[in-house]
Amino acid sequence: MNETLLKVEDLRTSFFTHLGEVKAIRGVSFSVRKGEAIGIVGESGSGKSVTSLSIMRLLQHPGKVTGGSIVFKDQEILKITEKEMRSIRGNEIAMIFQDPMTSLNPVFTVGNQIVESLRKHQKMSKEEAGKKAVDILKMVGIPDPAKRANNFPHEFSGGMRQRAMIAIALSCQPDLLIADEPTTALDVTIQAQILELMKSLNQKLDMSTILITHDLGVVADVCSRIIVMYGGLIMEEGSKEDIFYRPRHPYTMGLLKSIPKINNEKQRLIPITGTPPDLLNPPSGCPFYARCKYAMVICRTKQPPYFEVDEGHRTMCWLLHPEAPGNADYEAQQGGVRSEAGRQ
Amino acid sequence: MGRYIFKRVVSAIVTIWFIMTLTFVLMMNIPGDPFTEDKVLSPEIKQAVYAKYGLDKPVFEQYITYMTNYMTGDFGVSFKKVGLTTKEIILSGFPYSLKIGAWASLFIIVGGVAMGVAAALRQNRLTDRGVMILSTLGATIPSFVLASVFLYVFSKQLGWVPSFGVGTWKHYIGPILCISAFNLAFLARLTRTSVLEVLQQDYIRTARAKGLSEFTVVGKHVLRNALIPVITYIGPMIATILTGSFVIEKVFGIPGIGQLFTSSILNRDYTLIMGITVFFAVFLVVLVLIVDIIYVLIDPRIKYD
Repeated sequence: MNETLLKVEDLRTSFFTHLGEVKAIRGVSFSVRKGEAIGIVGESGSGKSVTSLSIMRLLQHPGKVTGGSIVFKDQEILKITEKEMRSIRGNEIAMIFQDPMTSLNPVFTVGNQIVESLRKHQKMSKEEAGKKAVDILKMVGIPDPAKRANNFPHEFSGGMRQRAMIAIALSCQPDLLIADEPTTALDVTIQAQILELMKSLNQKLDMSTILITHDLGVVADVCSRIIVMYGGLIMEEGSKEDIFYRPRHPYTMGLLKSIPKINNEKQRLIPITGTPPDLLNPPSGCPFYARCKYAMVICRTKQPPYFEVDEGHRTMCWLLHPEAPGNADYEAQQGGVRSEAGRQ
Repeated sequence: MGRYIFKRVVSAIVTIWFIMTLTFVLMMNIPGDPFTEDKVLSPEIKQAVYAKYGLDKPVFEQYITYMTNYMTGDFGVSFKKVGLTTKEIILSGFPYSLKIGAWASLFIIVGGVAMGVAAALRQNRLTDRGVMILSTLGATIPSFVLASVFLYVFSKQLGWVPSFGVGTWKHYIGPILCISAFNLAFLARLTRTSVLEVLQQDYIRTARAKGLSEFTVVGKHVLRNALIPVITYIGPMIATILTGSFVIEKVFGIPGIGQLFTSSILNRDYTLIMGITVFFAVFLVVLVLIVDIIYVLIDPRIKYD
């Protein structure tokens, strides 16, 4: 179970626009073990979707991976041919996208769109693939799947379309499923159903999952390990408990404070003031410097290294440096966040 | 599906009836008649001529005769071309226009779609720039200029093709190319825009994420969607092209229906004008009907009723 399935090392991706090079990812490293579900959280523009598209090699022009390595099952993904990559895509690594309303081709039946992957990767006959498609639709909870397979996407509701997307992704039993904001476009009740489905399938099929979202509630439900991204870098990485109860990065703390709490209606949400850094001219220091309450002089000029808090819990923040001057407020906040989160 | 087609056919028939009536009313209200120019006609002879062609009857009676005759396929006799029926005249000119039009349509559809797709897939690169320059030229140069240049270069200077008439297949090259230019250019642009738009869609990313080859992605997922607006344009375009072009037929000396139509108007040849108008109208309506049916087959989101 501890086998590493995917290892991303110092990944760098840029978009070469007419304004210049936008460095969307500036050195991201993480790994996913077999059967593990990890979550990548961060606000818009933090680089989480670009990370997933880089892994799938689906970046559109002008996006380009400029450095680093992505090793999947001992294979360097960035070095294999496009043809080899195609046999991985949809087969060993599958992806679910944000908006189920637009992610299915409107002019083909849902069944047809599932059959496509099966025929391509599993070399099934038309009949076999058709039967399998119905089975998968049933597995993802589509009622009357034999009839529904012949429906077009516009005859499906939003939640059903996302189920159909999951069916497409799971059709070839991938080892890794990347879900990019799979529930963002859905109603809260449907969100819960889809997450429940993903969780149960994850266990049933023994597949690894990378769940990308800006919603901490979603990752808390599904993932065991969480990566917090900001400004194209990983700010903090740790187990679900580490991130929710023992966050050490001021950005993570800020994120947790901006979640509404159901048991304390009168409390105002505390937003993180300011805006994310301009990745056309990324700051030389910590990307969160400009918005950080505890920023020190060094934070502006020098990007912090990772400090290991515990095993598997690392943070990119100068405050953890042994020589950093103690900040009473920061220390207190940690306690505060912990106890508040603990009450949830 | 059957109901949908039935409804479409009924509305097509109503449209044709409306066009026929409108043409009739317009013809009746234009000052002058086919015999206005024959100043020498004495009132008695004029009366006799009017009686012969039924022009002395009340308007409503003329209308009824006109409609019933058309129902039975009788398009009447030409007022100006003595001894010929309208049907004969149309059938003598139409085959030439049809031949040119059919080849031109094929050329436009295959060439235009191929150019458009190629340009879109190589956006902002050499292929794209080339197609865009060609299509700008094709859309802006008037067909008579193009025809003259063609005749000068290929007929006069190089002597590869004959300049006039309809004898061999070589006679048709010039007319087909010149009649195609504008629509080819337009269709290439339309296809390019449409393909570029579809390429941006989320479902294309989904198709790629499935590991499908680029050929399948473009040939199946992109084209089927991108061709929807293209088909809308192609239907009426074919009708226009098949019914001939006055300019092209004049320049290349083709005795087609485009020339006939224009000369019939100049001659105020009532029956011929009406015959050709109705012929064109039916043609257009039928092609639009075909497009409507193809639509439903290609895009399941279009409701049948």
